[in-house]
Amino acid sequence: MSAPRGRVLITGGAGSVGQGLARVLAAEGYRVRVLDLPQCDFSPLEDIAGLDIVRGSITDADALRQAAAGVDAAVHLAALLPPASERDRETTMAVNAGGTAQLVEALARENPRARLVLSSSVCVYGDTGAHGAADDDPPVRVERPTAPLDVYGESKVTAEDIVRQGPLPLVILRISGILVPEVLAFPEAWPFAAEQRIEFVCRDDVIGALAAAVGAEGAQGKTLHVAGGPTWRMRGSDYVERLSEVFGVPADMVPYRDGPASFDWYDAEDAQALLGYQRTPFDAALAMIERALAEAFET
Amino acid sequence: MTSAITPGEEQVLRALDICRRAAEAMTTLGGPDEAWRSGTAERLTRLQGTLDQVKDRFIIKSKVCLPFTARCAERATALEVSLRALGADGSTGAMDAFAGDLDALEKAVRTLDGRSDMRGMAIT
Repeated sequence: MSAPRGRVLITGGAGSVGQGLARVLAAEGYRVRVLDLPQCDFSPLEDIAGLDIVRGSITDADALRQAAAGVDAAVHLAALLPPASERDRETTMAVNAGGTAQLVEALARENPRARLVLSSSVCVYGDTGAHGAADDDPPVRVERPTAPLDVYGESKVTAEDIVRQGPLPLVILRISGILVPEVLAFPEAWPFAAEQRIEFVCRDDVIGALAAAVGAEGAQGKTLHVAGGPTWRMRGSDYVERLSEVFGVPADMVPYRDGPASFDWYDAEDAQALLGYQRTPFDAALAMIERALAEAFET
Repeated sequence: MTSAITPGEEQVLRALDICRRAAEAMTTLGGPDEAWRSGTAERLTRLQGTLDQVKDRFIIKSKVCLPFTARCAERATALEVSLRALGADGSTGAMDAFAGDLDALEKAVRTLDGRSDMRGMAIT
């Protein structure tokens, strides 16, 4: 445990990334508060010393007031994710954009110097030409204009605008697709085409990037990519084949997305220099899954 | 796009089919009394329900599940054999043998259900 530091709020903190982040920040000496929906399972967080839990929605002003009290920084993870985000535009915008606006307001009222780390997405770029023959030159840079393909991407563009227009010091992290290195089911369809460029990132490196963004001096005011790095740069079919091999399932079990999707290779040089989060090569993430499988299915 | 049926899926489907046929047989079986037959049919129906859920799980296609699906299929095959014996000879001994095989199948299905019950997605 490091020396005591400030209090950090994690919205959406009961999820897979939020739990890991709470653990890392607590180990670094931060006092951690988690805000998430009352129906979430908070039990995996119970052993984190001094952790503070606020049960409520990101759109609930009372819960936000309680969550923002005495906070020195916030990592904003709470959001409706695909595919749920695509079912009802109004709800998604209310949660992902409206909730961000309410959080900014609550934090600004409580502590206008509180740093806000926004978990955004590479979905803001939409189709970058990574799918098909007429490829643009990779990697995608953060200066690229946004042109989201779906409601989720649109909600993240709006959320970014909200935090940029607000009074808080900020860091925006545009996170790529996350591989959770556990024994979890494949999606019903891969969110990318077989021939598309993709650069996913290990969940643990995302946690590292978010944790570093809370305190990194040079990161303030920046928009940065969070993607896996060179070993994660591949085509969709390469990724699926490797992952299927580890799980011991047929590679054609799940269909690919038909048409353009919001994934590509990303320029993360600045992000890596500032946050130093790319620690898990693709093969190492697969080895983590192999170990988890062996443990879960030992006879 | 769907793959051909995997050995794990095949084994689960075989167990499911045996449970279904055994449950049906309970309505016509001579020998055991009504209470025993209806109680056994209920257990077999519950097993069918569990196997029906399990068969669609992603991990059932995986090789890691094979020891567990194979055990279910083996136990179900043993149950099928004892069902045949029960049909030919409705004695207490045959009933006990069938009940023992049903216990073993239930245990194998419970194990498979527990191991294959994954929450969440590998990518987000």
